[in-house]
Amino acid sequence: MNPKIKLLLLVIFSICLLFIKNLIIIFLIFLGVSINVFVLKIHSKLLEWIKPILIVSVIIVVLQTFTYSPINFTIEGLLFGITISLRLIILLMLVFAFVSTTSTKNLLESFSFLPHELAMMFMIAFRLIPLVKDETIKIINAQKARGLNFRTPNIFKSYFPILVPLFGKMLEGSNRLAFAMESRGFDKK
Amino acid sequence: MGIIVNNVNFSYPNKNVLKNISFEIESGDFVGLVGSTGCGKTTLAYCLNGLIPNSIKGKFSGHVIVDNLDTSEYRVSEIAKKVGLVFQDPDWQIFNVSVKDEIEFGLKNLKLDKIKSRTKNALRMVGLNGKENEDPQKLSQGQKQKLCIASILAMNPEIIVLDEPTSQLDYKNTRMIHDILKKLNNNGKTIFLIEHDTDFLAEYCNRIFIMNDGRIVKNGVPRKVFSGVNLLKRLGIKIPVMK
Repeated sequence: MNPKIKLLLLVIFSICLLFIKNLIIIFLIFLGVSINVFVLKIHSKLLEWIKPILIVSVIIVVLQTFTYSPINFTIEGLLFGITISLRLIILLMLVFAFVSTTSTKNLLESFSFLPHELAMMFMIAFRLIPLVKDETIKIINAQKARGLNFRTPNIFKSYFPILVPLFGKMLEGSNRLAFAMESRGFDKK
Repeated sequence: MGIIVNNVNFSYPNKNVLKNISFEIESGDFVGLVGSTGCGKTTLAYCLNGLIPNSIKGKFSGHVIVDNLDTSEYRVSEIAKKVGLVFQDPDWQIFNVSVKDEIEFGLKNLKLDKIKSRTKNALRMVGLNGKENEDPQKLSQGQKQKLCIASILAMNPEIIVLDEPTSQLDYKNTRMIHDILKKLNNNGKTIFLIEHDTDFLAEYCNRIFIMNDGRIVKNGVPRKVFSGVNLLKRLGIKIPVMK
């Protein structure tokens, strides 16, 4: 399918989802999307990805159950909590299905309706993600080799030696990328 | 078409990088530039295609004339039609989603014609034909550097400046890149190569510049320049085997 149409459908569907209040309909949508996820064979990856969101969803349900009517257990609160959580989970399943079934190339093409500079910005940002990831791993390994302990209670102390060189590298790299683009005629003026 | 560099000085707020640099490069020359790290080689390369003074800010004086155009008076995109610059690290040059798009990027920016045939020819020259639709990120490091060279070749500049293009490559890929450069020079392109491999420079360049602390300290044919063994030792430059 055309990536632009896919992105448009994702946006429309997500907006519609916000306006559906009937829990039965939301549950049916959840079932439909789940079946699709199984058919696409992306369920195992999705489960890994969605774990933290499931925890957040449980917290939402519990909070809504007991705060819908002040500090009392209410069925309305429970149902409202489930509705919000299901919406969130469906939304994430849809985004995951979109990203998993669209190649990077098509994903970037889906931004092509944006103004040229903006589309270019998105494209470069997407393309640099693996590079940033690689650099982060290299820096983490280098700092580990020099005895950096990640298990200290002070998160700032353990991550500072990674973030500083990483930002330095990214700034230097983005500067070089800008020079390379300009050398190939990309005119900022 | 050559380059005339006349009395060029460049400094960042707290560092004087280029000091009184003057030289001429003639059309068809294969010039090698060697020098220790931080001596100003990359900065000099940026001057040759107009990134300095147009995009990189600092105190610049002097003139760099490319094909009768003073680089300080023209945009980088104008100079890019005449001088192509290949950078050291291909990962920070490639960002498009396919090999073809990467090459077409410069062609479209410069509004050049015959985009398809230029792309095809450039890929053929570096031995990447048939890879048009591949994802550049999935290419090997050597192939990525070849792609960077091809993306410059497609724009058909008369002068190609390369800033240590083989610094991250293994021996096999280094030889491949060197072979491509020899072929390009044989086809009439002027090459300005910043490189540490003095053996290659001694064999294929017709002129060598040695740079130290922002100055060109020696300039001439390889045999003459590399015979100054004491200077090479003092600057930490590998003494090449002269054939």
